Amino acid sequence: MENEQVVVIGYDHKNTPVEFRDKISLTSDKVISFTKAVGNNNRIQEIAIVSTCNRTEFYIVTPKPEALLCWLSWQYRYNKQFAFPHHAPKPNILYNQKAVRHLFSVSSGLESLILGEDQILGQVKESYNLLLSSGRKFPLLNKLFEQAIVAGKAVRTQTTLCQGAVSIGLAAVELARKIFRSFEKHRILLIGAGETSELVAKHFASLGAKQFIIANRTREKSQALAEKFGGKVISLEQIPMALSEVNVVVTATNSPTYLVGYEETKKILKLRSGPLLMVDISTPRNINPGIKDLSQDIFLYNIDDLRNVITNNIEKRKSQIPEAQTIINYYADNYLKWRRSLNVTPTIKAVVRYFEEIRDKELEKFSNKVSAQEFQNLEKLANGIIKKIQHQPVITLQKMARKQQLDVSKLHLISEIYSTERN
Amino acid sequence: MLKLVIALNIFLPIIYGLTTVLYGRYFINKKLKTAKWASFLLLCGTCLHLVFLVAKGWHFQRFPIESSFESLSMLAFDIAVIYCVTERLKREYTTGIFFLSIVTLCQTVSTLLFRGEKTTNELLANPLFGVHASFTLLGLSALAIATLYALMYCVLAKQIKKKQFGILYEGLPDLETLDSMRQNATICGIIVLGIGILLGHFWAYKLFGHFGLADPKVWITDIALCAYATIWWSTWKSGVHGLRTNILSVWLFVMLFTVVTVLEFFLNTFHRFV
Repeated sequence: MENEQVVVIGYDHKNTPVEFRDKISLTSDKVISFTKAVGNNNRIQEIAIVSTCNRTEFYIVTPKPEALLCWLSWQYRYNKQFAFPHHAPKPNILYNQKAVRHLFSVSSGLESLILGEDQILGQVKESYNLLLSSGRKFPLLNKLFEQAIVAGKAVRTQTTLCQGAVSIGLAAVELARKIFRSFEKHRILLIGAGETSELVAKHFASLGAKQFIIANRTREKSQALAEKFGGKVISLEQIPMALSEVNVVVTATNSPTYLVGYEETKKILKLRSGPLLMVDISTPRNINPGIKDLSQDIFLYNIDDLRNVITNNIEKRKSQIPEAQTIINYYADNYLKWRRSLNVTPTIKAVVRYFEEIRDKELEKFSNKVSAQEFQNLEKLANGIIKKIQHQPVITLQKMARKQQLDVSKLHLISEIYSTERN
Repeated sequence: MLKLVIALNIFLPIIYGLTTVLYGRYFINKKLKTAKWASFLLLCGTCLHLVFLVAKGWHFQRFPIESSFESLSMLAFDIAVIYCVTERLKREYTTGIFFLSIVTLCQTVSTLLFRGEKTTNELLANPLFGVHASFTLLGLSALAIATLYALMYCVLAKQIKKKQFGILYEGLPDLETLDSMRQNATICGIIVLGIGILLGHFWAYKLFGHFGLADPKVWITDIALCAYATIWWSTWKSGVHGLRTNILSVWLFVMLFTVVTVLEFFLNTFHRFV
């Protein structure tokens, strides 16, 4: 086991263009096909694959890491009918410690395109589930993925690496969350029914928002959005009246004029009370900027304000990297310690077997000379002595393994000393 | 018993101080573990404070608010209890730093000026007075807490409006939560202070044959209570809320506090016991 190496061969957004990433990404079925192919190969003992839109990575346990790329390209040709071109991008290849730390960084979101991205942990979990469902025994990768998930969770709970919105839609929702506790009872007016409005509606809906009012130039589009998220449709002319009953207004249209005007809003404000969040994501702006001075309870934000929020959040996430690295190192070290303890296991077994063989041989000499009762007593005595003699070398070996004081040559020497196969 | 009182008198500012530090750390780093420890320490602190007040009352055979400084300890206890309850109801730990700072300050001043001498005052030995004083102080504490929530609302609303995403923006809960906490504390304050004032009038009538309205502090508190109740009722009825109601809440308490403090210093009324 001491010769086995954990190798990662990775294609990700840092080293591979999106066209190639698209071609090599694998669905769950294909991942299973790759996993099954391991059974026919002596070189590869274990394999796990993380395949997302931004990365396809192969985690492989092998005693001989040479020519793994050939094996992979052959698998692609066989399973996906895709031939690696000669000018294919070079993957990122990491071994052992670096490979382990890499997976832990991936699951924590440190390697993601958007720092601290949340989805990746779920994707690593999915890879782990595929590993478990493969029906084969992959002890090293099993433990590696299990620990990577734990590390990913720890980074998310112990640091703020994954906190703070990093997209315009989420930033708008984050602002709303600083004003309103929940959105179940609040009405949200969406002006525009395009992609951005849909994304914003999705974020609000995920927080419990149920009452949307959608205003758009083309009624069909707003009708479709209203059907998807619940709510009612109004015309652009009805916007001023709607302002009296909503708590959040989000505009995302291409309209060249203000859709929420100063005078109409001024009149309507007499009919309402409480905070009103207005988010103008449109360019040119759709909400008259003077509206913010109409009342102390109006909070008006435009796209530049949201961009500032995002920039601040990214900076905050970056400041969390050292803390996240400390957590990753802790879990990676734990995994590596566990691996080292596995390396020493065969040697410990050899030591135990050596003493047990001596005990059995010596006891055999008395088997016909003493009564059954006396033999049992002798057996107890011999077992006691053997256990005491074994104790010190076994404990020392375990301790040395934990402290990384054992290399392959030392382990071979100890195994040779306690070998039971000599004449 | 005196030894226990003295020991707790020294220990209370320490435990409240530690709790404040923990709440402060939570306000900045948002680690739930820190908040849980702070909350646990606060619970221990309030329990010990209760033991301290009971032991003090037992030892001196009177209600423990003989002087302004003793009242500060009672005020610290009341704020700690009300905050403890609000925190447990909402599971909202971020505002702890503000309340515990006040609690620590009040208790520290009270500890430093503690004399530990036995004095006799018939008024303070009356159990009805104890109930009246407890309710009144608890009610005033609740209104003070409501004011702090209103103040936080105003500060946060200003920051959101000016797009200043500083430490308060990060640390404080949302405006709606702050508003709801203020409303809860105000209702609690109006009810408890109302009971306290009624008991006070009843007690004054029983002892002196009048309702004690000659004391300006009494009728000002009566007026303040009526104002609070009227404003709360009218805002609730009309559904008006937001920054204006919070500003109003702050001003109302500031006025009450200023007037009562001025009267306390300049007038020698039956509320002075030494």
